[in-house]
Amino acid sequence: MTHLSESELLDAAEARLSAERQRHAETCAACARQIEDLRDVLARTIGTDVPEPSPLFWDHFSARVRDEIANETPGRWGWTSGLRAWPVAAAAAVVVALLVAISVFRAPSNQPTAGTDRQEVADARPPAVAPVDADADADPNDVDVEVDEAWAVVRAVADDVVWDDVTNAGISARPGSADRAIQTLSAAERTELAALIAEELKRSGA
Amino acid sequence: MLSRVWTGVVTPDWKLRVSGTGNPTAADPMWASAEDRDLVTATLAGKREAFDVIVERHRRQIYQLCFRFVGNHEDASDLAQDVFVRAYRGLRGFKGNASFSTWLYRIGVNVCLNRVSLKRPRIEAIDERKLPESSSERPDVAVMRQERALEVRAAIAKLPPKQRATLILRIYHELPHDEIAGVLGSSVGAVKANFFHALANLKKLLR
Repeated sequence: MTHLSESELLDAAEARLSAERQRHAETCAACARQIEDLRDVLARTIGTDVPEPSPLFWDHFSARVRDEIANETPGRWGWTSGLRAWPVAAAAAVVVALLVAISVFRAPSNQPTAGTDRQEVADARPPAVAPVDADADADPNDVDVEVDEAWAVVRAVADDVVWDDVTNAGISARPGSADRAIQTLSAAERTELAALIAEELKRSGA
Repeated sequence: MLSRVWTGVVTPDWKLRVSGTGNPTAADPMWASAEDRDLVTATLAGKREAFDVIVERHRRQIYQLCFRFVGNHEDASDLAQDVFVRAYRGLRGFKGNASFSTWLYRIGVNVCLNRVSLKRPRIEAIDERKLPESSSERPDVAVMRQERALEVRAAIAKLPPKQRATLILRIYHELPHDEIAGVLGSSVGAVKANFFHALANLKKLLR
């Protein structure tokens, strides 16, 4: 007959071994010794009590727990409440992602600068040197500041501005900034700019 | 000069209700005989006094569990409080599949294992706290018993966490193996193996 397994040795030490295996334990010196060792340790371990706190401790303890949970709702950390929070968290994440995406896509070419005429802002868009088709105007990066909702506040403020007053107040482009801007243009852009200026001069009768 | 005239009248049906038995910490006797599950349901329904009964009913065993892990009164007291606060917060997570005490033990074991993984327990010296004494026990026998208890607690503190938890739940809380398996989230076989090795390690530590 095989020796007792660890599980059976435990059962034997706790007097819960089956009768058949118990017969083996009684006739096998090796198993009997192991059972005796386990019983010895159990006996030494069982006889140790936890020191009893003062009787006053228990009431104090209950009061502490009561104070700690006084302002809390029971079960607020339950797993179901966590599941209920998921849709809210997901919706919030989508909104944040959309806001970030919108701000990133709108940021580059449409930043108004001090002392810049509204018309200049509109015209400062990358010149359509060779417009191919209408889809080019539908570029998501290409926002019309005259109609775009995001520019509504700027438009409302700018509508009340008298640009002569702005210039008289000393708010204008820095000297030489127009020259520097022109130097950054490509040859095609300069040609287009020259055509725009000529057209504007002709229209104003200058 | 009177600048403002108050025209309201005092509501005549105000009621002043003074409740309590003179012992503000005693749990409401109305709930004293209720089952744990009913107390949980009542607590979730907003009857906070039902949770007082839960605390009163289980505080000693949870405190003792914590003491077995950390070996001193201060830490055990803090941990036991933490167990009940966590239980309260997570009360909706108790589904009634196991007994409430098993569920509470599970929280207790997790709290204790977290603590002992962060901070090595400080085992109380003999003279810090007296063990319960038998009236017929001679003083020298009592001292020897206290020394032995201290030695055993120190040895248990050196066991690997799962072995320690298994041994504490089996020997001191007398939980059956399957219930310990429920507390620790393991199989009965694993519990018995842990218990066997815990005893084997203790035998070496207590030589």
